Amino acid sequence: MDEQELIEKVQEGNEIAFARIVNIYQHKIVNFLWQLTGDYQKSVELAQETFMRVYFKANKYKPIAPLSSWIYAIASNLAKTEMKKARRFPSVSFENAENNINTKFTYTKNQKNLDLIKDLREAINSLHPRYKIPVILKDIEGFSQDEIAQILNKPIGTIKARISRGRNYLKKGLEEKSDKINIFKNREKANGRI
Amino acid sequence: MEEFDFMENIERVKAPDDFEGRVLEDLSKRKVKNVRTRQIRLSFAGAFSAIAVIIVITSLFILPHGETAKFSTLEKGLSSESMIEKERGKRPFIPIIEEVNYSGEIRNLSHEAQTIYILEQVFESTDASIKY
Repeated sequence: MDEQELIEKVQEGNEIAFARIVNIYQHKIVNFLWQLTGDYQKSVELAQETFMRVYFKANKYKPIAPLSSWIYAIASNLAKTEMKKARRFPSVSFENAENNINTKFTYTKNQKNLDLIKDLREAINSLHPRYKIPVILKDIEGFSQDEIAQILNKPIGTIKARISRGRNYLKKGLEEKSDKINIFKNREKANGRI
Repeated sequence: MEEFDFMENIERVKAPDDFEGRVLEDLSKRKVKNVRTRQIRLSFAGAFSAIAVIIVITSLFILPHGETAKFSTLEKGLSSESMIEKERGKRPFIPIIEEVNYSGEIRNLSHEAQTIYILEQVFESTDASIKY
């Protein structure tokens, strides 16, 4: 049964079809929300709310866009609202995030690049949601620019610009971090500690 | 943008094992809650409509019509002129008829154009003949 059939059944109130959709998207949505908020518990709660909306607002879904785009749109809207509520952009450090989440659910493909990934995580967390969401959808979730434009309901030009700017901000953030590390290392060297 | 190749390797999280169960449990709770909310809304709507019906029935059948009419005109601010007109309609009409002799009013001047000015009192209810 494909996703369109599943959502049609959900529109009729079929809970089995809904459970199937939850099963397909649960990890993707929890991960996406975690990338946005940096808080595992919050991301699980928001994912739950996302699926509730999928069930109760199923009649509003129009098959002009893929189901995944619609679900990600709901999730990103909830995340935006949550970030506005918090009135600050979540800046959970890698260490704190690690303590926040259940480590058995995490997996890192490349352990060698942990330092860079840690810096990237911090840089992503410091991004404004305007840039953070498109960058995450593009570079982490692997959506195309067209799909991101559909999810965020923005023109494709805007999405391209936001991804580009977001990447530039990330690059700057990473460069600043490496500069700081180099300064620290040089100081340590000068003090004879290294 | 070499650093963005690492984005694919960035750490990811998975949903808890019982996530699906939690969602379905939450769903059944929400359904029950929605049914209750709908019932409460319906009962409120029913109560309000019942009150509205009672008010209408009371105003139509129990309160005297004159009172309600007065009340309504006062409410609308039509108390002055329309009320006076209505009051006039209720009172018995006594026509006051006055005979007028216009014979003294006509001037007989031969050098002037023979114009007769008729001053007529127009009054619908009077049947008195006017003398010229």
